[in-house]
Amino acid sequence: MSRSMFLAAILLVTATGCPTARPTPTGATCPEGSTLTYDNFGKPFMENYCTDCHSSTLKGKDRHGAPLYHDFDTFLGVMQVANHIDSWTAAGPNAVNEIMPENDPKPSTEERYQLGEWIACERAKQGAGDAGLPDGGAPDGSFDGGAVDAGVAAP
Amino acid sequence: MSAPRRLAVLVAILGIASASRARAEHHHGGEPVPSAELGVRIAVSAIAARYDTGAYVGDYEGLALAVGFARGRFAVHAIAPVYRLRENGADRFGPGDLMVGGDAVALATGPWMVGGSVMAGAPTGDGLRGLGMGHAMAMVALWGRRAQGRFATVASVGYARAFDAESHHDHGAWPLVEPMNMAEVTGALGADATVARRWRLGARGAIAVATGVGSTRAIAAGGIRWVGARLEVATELQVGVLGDPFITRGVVETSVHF
Repeated sequence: MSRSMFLAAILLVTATGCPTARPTPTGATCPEGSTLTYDNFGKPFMENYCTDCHSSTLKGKDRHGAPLYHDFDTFLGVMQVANHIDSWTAAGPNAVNEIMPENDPKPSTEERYQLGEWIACERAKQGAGDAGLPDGGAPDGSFDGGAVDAGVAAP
Repeated sequence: MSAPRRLAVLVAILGIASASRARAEHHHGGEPVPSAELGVRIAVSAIAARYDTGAYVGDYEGLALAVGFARGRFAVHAIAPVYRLRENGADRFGPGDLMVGGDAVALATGPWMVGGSVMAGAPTGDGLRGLGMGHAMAMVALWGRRAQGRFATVASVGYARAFDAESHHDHGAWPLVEPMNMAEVTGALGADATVARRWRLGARGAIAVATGVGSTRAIAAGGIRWVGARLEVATELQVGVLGDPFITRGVVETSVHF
């Protein structure tokens, strides 16, 4: 018995010592006069850091672990899971999230703050009834800005 | 032989009909049999599965080490799995969630046995990559068993809940390797029979119904167990019936008790 209890104790100690980063909403807001748009920031950011995996043109193992339906090669695709992107990759007053991307190249901290700002601004436009949709957006301007699909825990 | 020891022996004899007590499948209605045994039990389970959740497609293999100890009406156990998970082309490797639990036999009379179980999980698996829940969890269950002649049937009901101070992370069934809802009611029903000397054949079903955000999962399974004096070897084939726990999964468990 003593050996089994000792093993159980080791396992419990191990259990408490493995913290992992947690996705955290950044709390970013859209500052007055923000110049960030999909065309001058969002699209190139996604192309530089995300769409090697998160692209609607990629299937199977070419997605390198990216869940299906988390595709960032269109504005609508980005905004459909904007809350995931904010919590996993962006930065703001409440968090600097560096979970994604997993591999190089990785955005700078400044770019992560810009991402948080840009998402906040796009959400603000949506809230004001003006999605300001660039190329790739839905014609009706519809996106929820943060859909969470059941069973999908990661962008 | 003292009464507690006789009871422990009874539990051990009935327990051998279990398809696989130590398999790392905690979230599909709880174990349908008491896990109490006489003395120390050490088991290693090999797991292989294919899954398709819609968002994730792939397979995984795992090894789970289980250690248990029983005395009289009570038993405790711990299970520590490790997985290689392939999800949408990415390979992940690491531990799953550590589970610790206990069982108590409340009533053992004639062919009937009734008891309860508690289980707790520590988020040792990577909750972002599908290897762990990312939260601590707890589960309670009541089970009943009737064994007569070469046949045995067992049923259980339980409730499981994950604990997360940051409730924004409510999700559906997760992780990929051992999915569970944030809160769910579980149920299981199984039966088995001795088909030859040292051989038992069994089948079971289990269901988990989300009580909040989440989805319902159900599985069906069939297995065979060889029972030696101190060594047991069990195999089980599991099929996902409802929800997306997995498409198919196989478990082979080897255990020794002393």
